[in-house]
Amino acid sequence: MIKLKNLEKVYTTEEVETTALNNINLDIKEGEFVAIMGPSGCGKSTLLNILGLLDNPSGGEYHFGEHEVAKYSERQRAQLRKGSIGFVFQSFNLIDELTVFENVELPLLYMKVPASERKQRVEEVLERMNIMHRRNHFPQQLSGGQQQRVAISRAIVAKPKVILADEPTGNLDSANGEEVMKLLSQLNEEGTTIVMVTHSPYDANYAHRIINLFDGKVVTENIKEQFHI
Amino acid sequence: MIQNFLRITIRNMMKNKLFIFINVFGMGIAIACCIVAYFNWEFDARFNTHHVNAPTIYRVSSIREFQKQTTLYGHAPIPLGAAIRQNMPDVKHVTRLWWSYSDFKVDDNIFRAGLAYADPDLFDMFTFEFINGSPAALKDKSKVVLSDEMAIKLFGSTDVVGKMLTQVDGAILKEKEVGGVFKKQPAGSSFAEDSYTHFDNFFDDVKEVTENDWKNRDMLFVQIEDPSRVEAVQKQLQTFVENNNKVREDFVIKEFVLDPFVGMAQRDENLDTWSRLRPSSPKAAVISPIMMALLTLLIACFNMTNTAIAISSRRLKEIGIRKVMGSVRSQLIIQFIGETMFVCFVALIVGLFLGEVLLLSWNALWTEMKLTSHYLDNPSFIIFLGSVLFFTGLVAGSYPAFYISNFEPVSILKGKLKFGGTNYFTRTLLALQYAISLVAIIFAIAFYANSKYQYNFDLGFNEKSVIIAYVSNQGEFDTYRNAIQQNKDIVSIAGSKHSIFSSGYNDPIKHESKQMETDIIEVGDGYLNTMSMHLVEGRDFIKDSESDKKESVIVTEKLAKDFGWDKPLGKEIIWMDTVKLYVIGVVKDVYTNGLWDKMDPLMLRYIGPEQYTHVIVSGPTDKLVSINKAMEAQWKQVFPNRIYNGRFLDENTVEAREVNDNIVKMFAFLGIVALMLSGTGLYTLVSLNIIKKMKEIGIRKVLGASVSNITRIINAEFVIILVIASALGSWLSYYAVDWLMDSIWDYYLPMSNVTVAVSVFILFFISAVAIGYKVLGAATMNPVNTLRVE
Repeated sequence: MIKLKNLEKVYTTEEVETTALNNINLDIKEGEFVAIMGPSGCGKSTLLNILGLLDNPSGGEYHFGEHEVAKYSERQRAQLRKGSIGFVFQSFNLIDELTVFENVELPLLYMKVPASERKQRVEEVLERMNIMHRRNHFPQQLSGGQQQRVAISRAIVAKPKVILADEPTGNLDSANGEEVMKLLSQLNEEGTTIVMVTHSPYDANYAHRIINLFDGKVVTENIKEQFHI
Repeated sequence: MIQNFLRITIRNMMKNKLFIFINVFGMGIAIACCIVAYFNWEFDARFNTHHVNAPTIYRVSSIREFQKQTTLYGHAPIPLGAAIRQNMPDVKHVTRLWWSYSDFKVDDNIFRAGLAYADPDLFDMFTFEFINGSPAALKDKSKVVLSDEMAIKLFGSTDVVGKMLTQVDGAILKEKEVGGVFKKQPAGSSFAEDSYTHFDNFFDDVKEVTENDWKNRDMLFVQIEDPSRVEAVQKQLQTFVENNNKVREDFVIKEFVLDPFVGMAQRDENLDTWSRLRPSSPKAAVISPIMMALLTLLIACFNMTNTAIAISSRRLKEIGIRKVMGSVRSQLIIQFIGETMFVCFVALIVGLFLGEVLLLSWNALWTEMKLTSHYLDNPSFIIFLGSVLFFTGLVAGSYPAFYISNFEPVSILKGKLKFGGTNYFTRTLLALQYAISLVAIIFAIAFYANSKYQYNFDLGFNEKSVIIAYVSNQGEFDTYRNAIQQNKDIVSIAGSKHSIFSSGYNDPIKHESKQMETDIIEVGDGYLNTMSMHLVEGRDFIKDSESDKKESVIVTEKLAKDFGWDKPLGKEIIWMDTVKLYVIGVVKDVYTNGLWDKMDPLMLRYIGPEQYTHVIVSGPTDKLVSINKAMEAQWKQVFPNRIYNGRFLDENTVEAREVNDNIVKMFAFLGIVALMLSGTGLYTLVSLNIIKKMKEIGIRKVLGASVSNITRIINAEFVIILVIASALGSWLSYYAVDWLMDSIWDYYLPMSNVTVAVSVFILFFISAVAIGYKVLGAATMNPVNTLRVE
């Protein structure tokens, strides 16, 4: 599903060169649940952004499915991103001016899904995430847990192959965090590949595999349970 | 998708109500200004175009070369009309034309109307819409044709063909039959008069003018249907130049020209050509509103761009998310430009309403001009408005659209990006906005100062304390003078044949080899005293002195200077090539054309009471209105059949004041709008800069910076922008104010340093008020708050 070979990311400013990712080799199979851990500044988010096609690597190879995407243009990345990858952020990142329904609908709009189908799919997802009763509310009117459920709804409404979650419980209390993690596990059990960045060992326990990063390098890979295709 | 965009646009607008309100309102005013400027321009451009034959009509004008200057005069000798009719078959129609005034009386109703003497061809050439009767009535000398407005005034109806009215010409009463009623010509027509009669009546009413005398001149129009024959006709006209020059040594002409009627009104106004037809709007009155509208539009555009940039920084998250969800850059660009277009569209609707209001106030400024909006029959205007909308949306939307859509979503969502505050682009826009605002303020103040200066200007006589009434002869003069002189408020009464700001003539005079043209007025006893003219040398005319009547003149300093005299007294002047006159006195310069045009030299001759037609009355300025009322009451007793014709001599000054005040109003309006918009622009940028510098301010405060230190840090940049804007605005105003004043007046108060200083002060003061609260808030906040967030 996802294959990284000697992947590098270097940030260059006028005088300083900072290596964020150094020679990363990684293979993520379809249906896997992978957690990425490591101290602040180790390159977790950079890696996630590259995996999510939000950023290009400076070197190495990145195979997404059958595509070699390392040198894709912004337009090509956007094209592949929509429909294939769902995002869940720590700070939810919902558009404040749109209602719950409209926020979830957004990816389908960019995929040019017809209105009647959009309505059906959004309602299905909201129903599933148990947030249907809030469909006409604006994000500010919801609790953190509810907002994250909306964000997850938005991430899965387009039925992506991969969900990338960047500290999805970071802004939530433990009860809500637990709920979110259960939802992600459930999605994974249904076949969606999940890559999650987290600081929390507890959350990481939900994953099949934990990858530890330090100074831009993979230091350990901790296979919790055998993953069968 | 479009629905989604619209939804977001409207919800965003609701979130930023104040900015959107100011933008929509500012843009609305700008569009309203464009509407006024457009219809004002159209009024001028369409002047006389309702005359369907206009392209084939020409005015026969005279070109004269005098003292190395070539001048076009819109008149020709009276007999030339008949000569053209007899000798030039290419000319389809000819009409002679002369304007005058007459009083018309029906029962007890008596009104003054502009009366035109014209040949019957007039109505075949020019487009008049007849409501009753027929244009052929002009063929009948005993008939008069009235405008519907005049017919209603006199008879209370327009159905008056065949009814009789009395033309009151001084003591002479003439019975006339109404031959037709036409719809009054629109304001954009050179034919403003309310009544027309056969040209032959002119010779009856003005005895000294005869039909075959080449000395007398009138206006003359011809219609030539075949454009290829125009040149031939013009050639034929030259054979009559000699007829003129033989009898008019004082007015030797070079040639006759066929002056196209199309554009004549505009040319007459711009070249200051002699013509008694109503001219179109002065150039300044057409160009100034266009300039104003464009400046307002620019400010509104700049402001909208700056605000759009500012507000969009609040929408970075949305952009980031949209990008993550798969939006490509072009979609974001369309969204942002679309949003500003939408705001412009709302502004356009607001502008259309404001335009109506502004048109009303514009019309209230001017007596003659009445502009009305008309959109549906006017595709060019729809295109104009469409382009304004498109242009504005594009300018205001482009920068944020292209700039913001370029950000990487990662940096946006990670909150790494600190967008907003000022950059070169926003700084430039702000500086330009302020420069334009300053220009408007300087204009308003400069014209206000000029208004005061011109009001108190010494014209060489006291126009504010004189009333002139007109009589036909010495008998009437004596009767009326005796009737009014009981009034104790009247300081003095004089008689004359002419007067400054009333009547006179212009003739060439000679001293030794030097020749020039001068204004000449013929005055009676006590004229200088009644007009408060200042004698600087020599003496006044001696009462009943025959030699003074025969050969004495009083001249202005200007005349003496033009002849190059050090000691003007006793100098000999040759008038009409034969009459010898001697200077007995010199008066202080008289601004014969008010402040509008360069003053002409003036020469006063002395006449006896038998020639008096002017009753000149002076009194204290504050009592002049009551004196006028009393004079009117006396008039009605003495001349019951006639309309009182007394008028204040300061009409000219009043008009100048009106023009000044109108310009002050226009630019004060522009100044307020411009300052309001610029103020918001500044406020927006300062707010953004404060957000951007929060951390810096916090750290500085922890390290011990005082409120004034912080204020200086925030303000320094804006002070520089304002200083640059002030320099630019002052420099622009220096030329623009002078250009506008010079195009209106010959004597005015140029823009002074005080005006600039006051304007700059206002600019800085308003800016300080606009941002003071915000800056103080930032400077006095607790640093813990910002540093904790960071």
